[in-house]
Amino acid sequence: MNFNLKHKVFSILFIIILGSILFLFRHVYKEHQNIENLNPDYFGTYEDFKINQNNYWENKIIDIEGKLTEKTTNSIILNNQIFFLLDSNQNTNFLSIDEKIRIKGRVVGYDELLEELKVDKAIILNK
Amino acid sequence: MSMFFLILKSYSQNKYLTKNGITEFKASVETFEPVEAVNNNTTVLFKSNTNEIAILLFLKSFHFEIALMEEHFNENYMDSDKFPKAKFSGKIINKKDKYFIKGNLNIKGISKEVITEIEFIKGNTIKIKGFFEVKPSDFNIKIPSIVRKKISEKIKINFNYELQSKT
Repeated sequence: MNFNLKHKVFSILFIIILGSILFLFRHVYKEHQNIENLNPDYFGTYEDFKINQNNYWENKIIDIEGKLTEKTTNSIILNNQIFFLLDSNQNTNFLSIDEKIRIKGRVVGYDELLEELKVDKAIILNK
Repeated sequence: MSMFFLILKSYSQNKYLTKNGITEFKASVETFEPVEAVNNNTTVLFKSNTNEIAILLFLKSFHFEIALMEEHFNENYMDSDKFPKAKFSGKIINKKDKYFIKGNLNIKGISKEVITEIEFIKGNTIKIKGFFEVKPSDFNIKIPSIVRKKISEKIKINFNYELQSKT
């Protein structure tokens, strides 16, 4: 009887400790935000999108369609105005200049040196 | 007429820029989970006729291995919502075969002069590479006492930019 009770208490304590260690570990080593699963704050075409030089779009998710005007291996520019830094798993080989593309990413802010909006963690959606 | 084109050509080669400059920092003392991050989309603009250079980066684009560290960096240390950018403006100075970058670094609304020797290679592109050190306290970045031992006194900032001629 006494032994059973002790056993029970230890089991429960053990589970609680294990649980909190697991929780703490998951909290500390949680994953980076995945843009793919986030709801966009803007969804539509480049023509309807208003670039705001203040920080209106900062940290917001945009899902936008426009014309590809420049590309490198890890970045693209939409309509000469919006710069997207692509997520590391993306590639631009299959894209061609002047093509219409849909892309989603997080706005980091307005770059006054280049006069363009910067977006990172971007993923290409239409192909 | 050809003189005109020559002038036009030299004008177009005045400006060099990159949007994918690499800036990274290391702030950890040894034997701790590394406190370091890299920013792969630093904007750098250089005018070769005046040797002026301007650098801009967004703090939120610093990528940390550990997502929680990135969250703390933006929310607790840098206050990135309020101060989203770090900027530098200055000049590149050539002294006896050595190159230096000198100017003002602005973080969290506070400006501080920085001067450091750089590797400067000019060909078709311009390569600028170097490092310098800053103290968090210079920019009003408070390190809580509980983690003070884990974050080094001086933070090393490495930069590596390759600028293309702007046409």
